[in-house]
This record gives sequence, structure tokens and C-alpha cells, in this order.
Amino acid sequence: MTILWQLLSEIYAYVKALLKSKETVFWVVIFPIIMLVILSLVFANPDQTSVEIALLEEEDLFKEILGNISSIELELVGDEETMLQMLRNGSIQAGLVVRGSIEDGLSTKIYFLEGVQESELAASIIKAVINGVEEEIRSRFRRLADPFIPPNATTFVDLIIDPISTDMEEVEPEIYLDRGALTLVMVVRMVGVQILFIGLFSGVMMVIAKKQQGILKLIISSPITSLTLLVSDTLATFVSITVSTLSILAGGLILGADYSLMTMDKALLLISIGIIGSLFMTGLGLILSLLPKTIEGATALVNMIAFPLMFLGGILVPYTWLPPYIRDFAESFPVSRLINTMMNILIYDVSIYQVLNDLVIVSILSIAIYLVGVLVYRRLMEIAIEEI
Amino acid sequence: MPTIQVLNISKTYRNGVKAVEDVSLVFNEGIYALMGPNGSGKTTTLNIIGGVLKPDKGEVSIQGYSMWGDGYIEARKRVGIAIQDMPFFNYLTGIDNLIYIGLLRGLSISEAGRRARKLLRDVGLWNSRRRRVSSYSGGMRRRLAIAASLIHDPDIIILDEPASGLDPKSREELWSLLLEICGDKTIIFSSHDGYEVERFSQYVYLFHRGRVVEEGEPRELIERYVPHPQAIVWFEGGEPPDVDGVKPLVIGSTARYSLDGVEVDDVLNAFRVRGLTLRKIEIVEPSLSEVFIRLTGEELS
Repeated sequence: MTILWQLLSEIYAYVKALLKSKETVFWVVIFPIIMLVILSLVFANPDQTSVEIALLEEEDLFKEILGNISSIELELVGDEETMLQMLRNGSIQAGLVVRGSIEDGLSTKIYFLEGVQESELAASIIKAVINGVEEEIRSRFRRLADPFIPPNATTFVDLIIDPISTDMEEVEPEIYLDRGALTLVMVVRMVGVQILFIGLFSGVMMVIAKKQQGILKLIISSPITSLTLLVSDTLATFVSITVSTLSILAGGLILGADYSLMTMDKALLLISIGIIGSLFMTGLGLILSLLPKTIEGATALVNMIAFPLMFLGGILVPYTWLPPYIRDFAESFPVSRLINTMMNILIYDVSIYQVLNDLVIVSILSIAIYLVGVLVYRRLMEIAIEEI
Repeated sequence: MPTIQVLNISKTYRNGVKAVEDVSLVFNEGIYALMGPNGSGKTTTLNIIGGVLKPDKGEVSIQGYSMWGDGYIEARKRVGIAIQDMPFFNYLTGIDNLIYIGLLRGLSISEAGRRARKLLRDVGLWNSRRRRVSSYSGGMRRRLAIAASLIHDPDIIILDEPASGLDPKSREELWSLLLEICGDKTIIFSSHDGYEVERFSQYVYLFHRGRVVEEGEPRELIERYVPHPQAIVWFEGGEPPDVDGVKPLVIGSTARYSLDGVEVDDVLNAFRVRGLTLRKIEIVEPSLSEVFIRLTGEELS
């Protein structure tokens, strides 16, 4: 029983600090709500002009053309079924399948969501691109064939040359990302941001803050093991993230997030994912706590790492908005993988089985990072005790 | 088995200062004092005994459990320490800090709350319990530190300079409070005030330059080393004279004469005959401070 109460010690100090310290209240409760409001106003807009399009082709004909259009986020896929699944679950707005070659004749098929304005817009952009390519092929053919065609027959030749046959096919959406769903996306992203910041900050500060504030002397003279203290600190971090998440959820409710998408089984899964993410960031923070010597140095380090990660790590900003070289990093960053898995489960109705492999790998990695953090923590505590 | 056994502890700080060297102490039930000037090693010793500071060498055993070995959990359960400038969470209230420390010491939250409320009443901080510690005065922080050291009801209380900086009236109040709330617990405190040690301790260890130079009951030490009043003379102009064959103890520009068959007039005459300038003369009663001076040739403060 003694250990159980000792585990409560850091949580007690944290909760009391939350109630007493305006600074803590701001960063844990107010800041994420402000961010959520800003993000919702800026990004939770279904009328955005940027569209995400998937492309399936045998030769690289449309990849460069579509890739060069600034309003298009292009994603290459390996098969039609994947494209349709992505379209149905809303992760792309339209898809283009290209078969054949210019020599043998090209056939294209455009998939888009019926009744979804932005999808129809994406399809019309693709259609316009195909028309442009067709015109280019026709004009090249005319230049080649010009000496052999009578002057009064060019219009007729244009009519009979049909280099690309195009089909348009409507797909029924499984989900439509309306304002409520998009706000929910922002809620999940904001939870990710708080996991990133609070986890990292708590990990880095665990030993340094106690040392600098002198509390370490109180702790050392107490009948508590360093492991019990670490678990207590980690639990306090989880409590902090939970409080922050609850405030984000409340903010999301006010902003109209569609919580009907969150069933009980999904919620439990999301909590587990959140714990894994928190464990990873806390462990990473513990490892990084080797570097700074003061609270001020630790704060600077956390900001230096967390702010770029927030924008470039695929947590706040979607992968598709990132340049390819950063996207590769973002896609492999565990917390971003977890946050995107959360969104896939919540918004796009992806089943646990589809993300299980990924979750297992990230979980193992998170536990490994945390365990390395435990070793660092114990070593730093030993050094701190020697240095008192 | 003694309550606390300290065997050959040594501690050198990272800046190379040897704070404590080969110190051995024994404490049983009662009130013990570590007396010495600032920098003599008493705070370092208390911190080592209380589990705050790890010694470079030596052993500390609390009721048979090693403070710095395998039995450290059991040892720490038995000790409460109020160190100098006790660290608290400044943004938390007095009662919140006590409950936090209670939880650290392994109390349940309800027990920690109950003990905290009782101790806050005992130390006279009840009306300030909901104020942030950052707004507490030095005296209030000291009383809160005493409450913190008692939160888990330990058998042994360690208090580092508990009355330091307090005026005599406040010091008397603090000690009567300590004696009342500590009951029959073993109390070990440090002080550089000879009067405080004489008045409140049953046994004293005298510290000088990181070592124990003498130990014993205060009265017994006084009777052994300074049984008679002392005449302290502030002088200028040369070597102070012997008076009736009694050599003075000279520290800087003061000379101490034991008034054992020597009268004050004899001292004054001896200075006059020698032609020295006599600035001031003071007669002091036998005390632990004088014992310390007699043993070390240095003043306590």
C-alpha cells in the first residue's frame, strides 16, 4: 500500500500545481483550446481549393503533369482497389487510372465521389489536364501529318483523332468530411501536439527540475525508490495529458466536432494509442534530459525540438502538405504514426486489424525508448545524489 | 542497540572542501546537539544521517538499518529531517506541501491530510495553511519544515539550526513547541549557539573543522574545561601578561583569564603594569561557548 500512495505523490503535486499555477493552467488547458480554435478556423473548411488525387498508371505520363500543379497533392498508388478505398474513406478527393501507351492508345478512368463538391472539382481538374494532354497529342500529330493532309481536311482529322478515351465514374463515399469531421481531425491533431509537448517537457524536466528546486533533497530523504518515483512522475505526465485532452475535447465540442464518430471501442483504442504516444515522448524526454543542466536550458531544448516536430513531424500538418524529404521523416516518426492511426480509426473507419502491425511496432519502439529513458533517469538520479 | 550509529563518515565536496572527516557518533533516546561554528561539518553530518547527503566513506545505521545501504527504505521511514532552507513547492500552499511530503513518506492521502492538519495547528500555521509557501516568512518556513519532518511520525527528528536567526523570545517559543510536539522522540539538532545547546540538549558533540573534538553532557563538559567565570580582555600594544601564574588564552586582540583564584583587579593591574592599552573587559559565566573556545582556540561565531 505504501508504494501505491507514494505513486500518488507526484500526481498530487501536479494536480495541485494545475489548480494553483496560472502558467500550468495556460499550457495544459488554455493553450490547446486557443490552438484548436485557430486550427479549426483555418483548416476545418470543406471548401478548400487544394485537392488530393491518387494516380495509377503503367508509364509515367501524368505523374509529372499532375505533380506540377500546385493545387494538387498527388499520391501514387499500386492498384485500383487501394485507390477506391482511399476515395471512399475520404483520404483523397479523386483518382485517375491510366492504361495503355500513347502508341497503342490511352484509356483513362476518373473516380470521384458523388455529390461531394470538392471531389467533383478534383475530377474536373483531372479532366482538364487530360484534355490538355489530348490537345498536345493532336497538335503533334498534325505537325507530323501536315504534309499529307489536304488543307480543307484538318478539322475532320481533329475530330477523328481521339488519343485518350476517358471514363468518369462516381464512387459512393463511406464518409464525408464535413465541418464536424474536420474539427474532429483538428481535435486529434491537437491531442497529438499536447502529447508531444507535455511528454517531452515532463521527461526532460523530471530530474533537472527537482534538482534545481531543491525538492530532490526531500525525495532522497524519503523512503521511496527511484523507480517508484519515476513511475509516479510518468503517471503525473499521463494525468497532465489527460487533463489537456479533456480540455481539447471540450473545446472541440464547442466548435462542433462530430463526436458521433467516436464509439466506445474506438475510444478505448484511442486511449491506448495515446498512452503509447505519451510513453514514447516521455522516454524521449528522459533520454534528452542528459543534455541540459538547468530548467531554462531544458525549456529551450524542448521548444527547439517540439515546435519543429509539431509542424514538420506530421502531427499538426498533414503529410501531404510536407515536402517529400520531410514527409519520409514524418511518416516514420512514431507519434505522428500514432496520431494518423488515431485519425484513420476515428475518421476513416479503418479497423484495428489494418493498423495492428503498425501499432505493435510503434508500441515496441515506445517501450524500448521508455526503458532507455528509465536507465538514463536512474543514472541522472545517481549523479544528482552525488552532486548534492 | 543504539538508535543511531554513525561510523567513520567522511565527505569531501566537489570543490575539494573536506566537510567531514572520519566522524563517529552514537545517539540513543534523548536530545542531542551538534555544536560548532559555520563550516565545522555539523550540517553535512546531519544531512548524511538524515539521508539527504551520501557520504564518501563510512556507515550510518538507524535502528539496525543502513541509511545508505540495502536497508535505506526502512532507515528513512524512521527519520524525519528539517534541513536548512527546507525546499518546498513555493506555488503550493502549506497544507499541500505537507500532504505531498506525507505521500512521499508513504502515508495514505487521508492520513497525510489528517497529520498535516494536526501539525499545522501544533506549529501555529493553521491560519496560514491555505496560503502559498512563497508568501511565508522565514520563521513560518522553519515551522513548516519542522511539521514536514514530523509528518510520518518518525522516531528520530533531525533539525538543522532550528532556531537560527530567531530572537530569544521566538527561540524559546520554538523550543517549547518542539519539546511539546516531539514528545519522547530522539531529537538531533545543530547549533552554533552555546546557550541553546546548554539549555535544550542532553548530550553534545563539538565539531571543529570537520571533526568531533569533544563530546559529553553540556554541564559535565563545562565543569571539565571551564569551571570558573572568564575575564575577557580586549587589549592593544603587546603580549598580554600572565596573572598569578595563569596564562591567558589569546585569540586575536582578546585574552581570556580563568577567574580561578584570580580577581578581576589582578588582571587589570597586570595590564597596567605591562603598559598595554586596555579597551574593554567582560566577565562571562562558564558556558559551552567558552568550552569550545578553550578546546579549539576559536570562537563559535
